[in-house]
Amino acid sequence: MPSPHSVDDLEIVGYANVLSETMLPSVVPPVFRLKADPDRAFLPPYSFNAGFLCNATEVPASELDELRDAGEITLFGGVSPARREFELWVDQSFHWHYQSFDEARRELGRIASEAIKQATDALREGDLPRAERLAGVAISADDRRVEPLAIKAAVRRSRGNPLGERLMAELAARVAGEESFRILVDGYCAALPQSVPAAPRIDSKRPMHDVATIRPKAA
Amino acid sequence: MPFPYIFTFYSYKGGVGRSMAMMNVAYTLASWGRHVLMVDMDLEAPGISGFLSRSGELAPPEGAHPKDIVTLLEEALGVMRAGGGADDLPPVSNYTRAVAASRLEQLKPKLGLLGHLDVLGPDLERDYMCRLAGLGLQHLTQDELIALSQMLHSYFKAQRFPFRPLGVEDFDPPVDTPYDYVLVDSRTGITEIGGLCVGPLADRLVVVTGLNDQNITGTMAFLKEAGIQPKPRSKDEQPWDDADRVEGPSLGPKPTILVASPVPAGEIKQRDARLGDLEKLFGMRPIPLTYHPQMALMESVFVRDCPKEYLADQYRKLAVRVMEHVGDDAAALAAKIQTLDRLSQESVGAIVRAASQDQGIGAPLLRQVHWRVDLGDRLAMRQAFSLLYQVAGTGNTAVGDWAAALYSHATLASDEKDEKLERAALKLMLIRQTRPSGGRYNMSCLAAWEGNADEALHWLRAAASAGQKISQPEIAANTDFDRVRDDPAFAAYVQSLPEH
Repeated sequence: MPSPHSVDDLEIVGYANVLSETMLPSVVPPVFRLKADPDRAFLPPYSFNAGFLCNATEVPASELDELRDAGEITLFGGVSPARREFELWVDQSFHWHYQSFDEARRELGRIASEAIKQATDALREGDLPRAERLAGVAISADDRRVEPLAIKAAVRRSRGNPLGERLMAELAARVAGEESFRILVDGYCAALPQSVPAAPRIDSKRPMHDVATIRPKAA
Repeated sequence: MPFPYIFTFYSYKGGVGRSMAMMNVAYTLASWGRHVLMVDMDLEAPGISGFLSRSGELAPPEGAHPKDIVTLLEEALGVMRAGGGADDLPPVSNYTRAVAASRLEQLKPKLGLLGHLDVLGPDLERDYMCRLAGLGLQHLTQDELIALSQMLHSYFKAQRFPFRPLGVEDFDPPVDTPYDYVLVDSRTGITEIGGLCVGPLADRLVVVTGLNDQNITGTMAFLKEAGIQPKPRSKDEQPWDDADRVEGPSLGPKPTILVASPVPAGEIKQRDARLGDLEKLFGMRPIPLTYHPQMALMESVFVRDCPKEYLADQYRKLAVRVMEHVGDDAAALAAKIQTLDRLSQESVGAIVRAASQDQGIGAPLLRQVHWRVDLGDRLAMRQAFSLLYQVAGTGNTAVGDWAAALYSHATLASDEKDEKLERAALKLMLIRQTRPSGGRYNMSCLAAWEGNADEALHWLRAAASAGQKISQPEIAANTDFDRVRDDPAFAAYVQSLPEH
């Protein structure tokens, strides 16, 4: 098992992803190298424990260019000292930010809220592509928010895509109950310039789907 | 998971004899001493409850009896929407009708006297179609249907009804009794009601299919939609619940019995070919229910009214399969009894269940019990004695023990003492009708306990003259004689008995 390295002994040279515009903003995993031995670089997957980088994949720094050319990683062209409890994220202009967790969450939350507001406005104006793109921005910035998923579901409903709507409901299931999500989607649909009729509930169309696989709960 | 077990009878198409199969299985189970609730959920084309009502099977309703299955569903939906549970619903007796005891008594074997049969169905008289439409089942989401199905499952599992079975005297208070089986007759096709019946409400499924192409294709479509694999369950599969032995031919994961009905009696070549097709498709041979002209022309409680016909035999086989699926068959019960280290209330209960279904297995076990278990006020013991009484060759012994159990209880209990003693005496007299020498010593004890010295002396003399060995120490040790031992004539007779 590789030995852990103190984060204080590391510096950041890039991140282990190649992002496109639709994926931004995004939190990304840094690519590290040792300050004392710059030829030793560290890639994810890894974990942090008490200020130490653990179980990282070590590669010679000479291989980083190859990985970049292969579309595996993005290199900054410079270095930045690594810090404990910090998060690396990339904004919509492809600028990277290295901030404390709290600062990063706050900033990303602000971006998500702004995107949701703009997406709602776009929905009211009937600009569905823009509403959907902004909802995507909000999801990238903060995937715990339910509103952007509901906006995407409303867009899908208005386009007569019940399966797409259902997918959004399933994605939202970890943060919202099905009924509350449906109410939220109904609300966004009502905001559309041409009222979209409430979609038939897909599940009620299949009242016997997989019902025999559900074990009764003991009383 | 305890009894009752809930079996939903489903068919994709109508007219295959599903409801009649369910009803005849219900009557068969009742004839074997089981407590059964039939639920008619074929709400858009109800049949069973109407048939039973028209043919005079049901006991007169208690009071106005305005409630039915639709009311129960309406109230269950209300409770569910208010965030309540099955406990918030009134008892099922508010919605059910009982099959008349006189109709159960006609069942053979007569162990139907231990059984009980209730019906929960629609009341077609009272604005039925409006009430059904008002339920709005078609507007429920699948989640709501599943929640309602689960609530009904919990509800039926918890129900008790007051019952005074054979072995419980009519002056005894009724016993709070659970159902053993709830049999649900489902709506055909892919519907909301079908989802309700096939979902968590049901512990087991009985899927009835005709042999023609429409039926088989439809059954296949239903199985796929409901999540039942169209192949026999493997022994490595995880049991569905505690009672599931993952044995015997069934589909799964929810244990599912496949039934072919109606199977034509003639057309042998084509019939066998279709059954073969079905076997190939599902990897198992379905239980056949053969077409019978009587059932086609005139519906009836076939297992009772035509018990010797081949179709009655097939219904009974289906009932056995139903019981096997929850470990209630005689063989399983016998195995369970034999693995118990000591006879307990539970094992006596199991023996009674086994005996009521199969006297060949049950009677020897009952005989074993009555030598090994202390007499007392145990309902199961009294049921055992009453059952033994009906088994040829054990009548006198059983009724004697039954009387002794009553007597023993009367001397201990403060309530209904006189009635119990009277009943014990009647039973002892019953022995004397078939075996004049029988029961004399017990009659003496009974009379002595009542303080009747002359009567006690009469029966004691009769017992001794019939050759029963009675000694002075035996009478001295028996506290039943305390009230009469100072009587001069009784005391003098006891002095004349052997000292050892």
